[in-house]
Order: sequence, then C-alpha cells, then structure tokens
Amino acid sequence: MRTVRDRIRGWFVLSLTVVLASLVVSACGGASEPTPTPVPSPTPAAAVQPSSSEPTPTAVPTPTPMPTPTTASATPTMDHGMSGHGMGSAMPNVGNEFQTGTLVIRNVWARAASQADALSAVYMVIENTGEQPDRLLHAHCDAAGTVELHETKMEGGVMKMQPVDGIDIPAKGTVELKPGGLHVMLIGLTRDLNPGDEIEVELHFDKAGHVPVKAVVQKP
Amino acid sequence: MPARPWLRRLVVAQLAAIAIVVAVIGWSLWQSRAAPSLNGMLLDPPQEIPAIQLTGSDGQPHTLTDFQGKVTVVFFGYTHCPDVCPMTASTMARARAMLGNQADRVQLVFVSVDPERDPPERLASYLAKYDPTFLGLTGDEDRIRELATAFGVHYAKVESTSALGYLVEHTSSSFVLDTQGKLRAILPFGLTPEQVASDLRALLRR
Repeated sequence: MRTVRDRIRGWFVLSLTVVLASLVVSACGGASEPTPTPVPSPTPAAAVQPSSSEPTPTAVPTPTPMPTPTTASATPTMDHGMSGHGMGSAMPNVGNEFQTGTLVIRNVWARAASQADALSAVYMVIENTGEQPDRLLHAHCDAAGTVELHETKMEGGVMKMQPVDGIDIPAKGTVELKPGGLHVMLIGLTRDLNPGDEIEVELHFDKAGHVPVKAVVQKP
Repeated sequence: MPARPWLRRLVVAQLAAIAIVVAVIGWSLWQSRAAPSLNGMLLDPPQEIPAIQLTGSDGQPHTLTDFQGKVTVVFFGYTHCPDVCPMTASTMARARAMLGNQADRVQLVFVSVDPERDPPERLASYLAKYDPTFLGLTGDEDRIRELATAFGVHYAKVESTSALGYLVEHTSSSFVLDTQGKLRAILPFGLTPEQVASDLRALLRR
C-alpha cells in the first residue's frame, strides 16, 4: 500500500517538475523573442507631463539626438558606403562610379525637383585611396544658378543647415554626402530635374582639380 | 498520516512557482497587447493638441483636429530645405504607400515654419511630388508659432552667407496623432519607411 502511494506521489512530483521546467523554458524563450518593451525610450518619456487635460503642453520632449549622420568613418573598410545608419532603404543606390587619380566618386545622385521648387541637392560617396588628403572646394552644375556645399547637423533633434567652405577628404578615407549630413546644394534650378535624368556636376578639388561627374536624378 | 512533510512542501513550492510563471507570462502578453512596441516614442497618455486654424495647400482652412478617424502624421519644415524635409516627406509618403488598403486611413501633414516663403501654391507643388494627398499648412506666423510650441517644436530663422538667404533651423521629428486627434507618438528623424509603416499599422490597430 505504502509503496504504491509513494510511487504515485513520486510520479506526481516528477510531472510537476517537468511542467515547471517547460514553463520556465517557454517563458524565457517567449520573453526574449518579441521583446515587448512597453515604453521604448525611457528618458524622454519621463519628461512628458501626464496631465494631458491642459491644452498648453509646452515641453513635448524632442527625441534625443540621432547618431549625427555626418561624415562617414575615415576607414577605407567602408566598401559600400550605403550600409546601415537606419536610412538604408530611403537611400538610392544608382551604382555609378567615377575615378580620377586617387579619388573614387560613386553613387552620385540628385533629388528630383521642379524648376519652381528652385532647389535640389546632390549626394555621393568620395573615397580617397591616396596617401595625401584632398579637399572639395566647390562645385558647378549647369542645371543650377548657384551651387553651394552645405552641412546639416542635428543638435538635440533640431536640424541646422549651414554652408561650409569645403569638405575634407582624408588620406585613405571615405566621406559620404547623404541626406541629413553633407550635400552639394543646387540653388536656382534652370530646369526641371525629373527622375532618371542625368545632370553634369563638376567638382573642384584642391589637389585633384576639376572632376566631372554625372548625377542620376532620383524620385524624392 | 504517512506522507513525508518535505514532499508536501516541495509540491506546494512547485505549484507556487508554476503560478508565478503563469502570472508573468500573462502579464507580459497583456502588456504587449496594451502598449504596442514602436520604433518611435509612444506618448501615454496621449496629449491634446490645440485646434489652430491654418491655410491648407488646397487653399481651404484646416486644423489638425479635422482628421479624426484617421491617423495623422505631422511634421514641421520649409520648402527651401532641400535636405532633411524632403527626406522626411519621402519617408512618410513611402510608409503610407506600404500600408496598402489602410493608406486611406493615414493623413500626411507638412506644417511650414517659413510662411513668408511658403504660400499654399508652393507647398502644393512641393508636396505633390511625394504623395498627392499630402496636405501642407501655412498662414499666420503667430498661429504657426503657437502650434509648433504645442508640439514642443523649435524653429528659428538663421541668417547665412548662402544664396538661399536665411535658413530655418527646426526640430526634425515627426508626430503621430491617433484616430481621436490626440498626439500619440513621436518619430525621430532617420527612421526607415518600413519602421514608420510598422508604427502606423500599430497605431491604426488601436
């Protein structure tokens, strides 16, 4: 009698242990997969005042600065400059490449715009394979009255754009001109820039001199 | 009673442990349903937005509370901004296009922080390139300032040496109003269209 009851009890305990173990395993597995972080970023959320009844909520938290997408890293390991940074899919890859001396300029594209818009921007990746640093001084484009070099900077979620005197291209380095960072700005368009068009842009470098490239116009 | 007390204690402990695990799983499931995880930042509770009337790119008067029943994406910018604003406009338009038959339930709104250079017609032609349903808002400077302040948006004219004349620095985040017209989420600049579409889907589901 006693042995039977003990045996039953033993099986009961064993089965409970199995159930518990499987629950723990499933809980751990289930919790780590979908990661249901209820409130995404903890710091700015704390700044939101919960009293939403007041129609004058002056301080909506501006989300903390983005990983300022300015110049790309100066390491020549970046073979495909268009990788990552959270903007990948919005960044076209037109696949063109221009070479002069030690400079390789690729993925040159411009944003489509009408003449009425008056403005557009040209982006590219400039790689310097040489031992000497170079500098992009200015640019020229027959589709625009004025061409300037600009830089957008993010400071605490605020976008600040300013003209720059030049863009340094370090020796053995790569600089990426991309939305939210450095760009060649076309001001006073002389014609519409339609997707698929090619526009001629002449880049003037300190050492490499004049480098003509063609930018492919992309749908905005 | 012949039962060994340690065995009973073990059984009780195991039952308690099972109860705890079940409770934790249940709680996390409930949490994940109650608060969808967003790529942007969810505001809980949502915030009221003042009904400030501005002129739309369609020439009609509009307030941001006009679009109840839809999820509204709002961002502030200016058409002489050829870098960040087009990027944001493009991201939002692509995200909306990804929603398929739910796209009709999303309204995109661009509020000009440069009304001096952004009359309704200019906004209309600037925005139509991205999405024909994109609405631009412009108008009285004081009202725009009031609306921006309600969103915590900073903007300021900056004199520059550029041929553009002055530039306008401004907050680059976008804002999502829920179907009740309340501010529900903030999307930082730099999200991909896929990330934004996923957030919009989550907010439409609520």
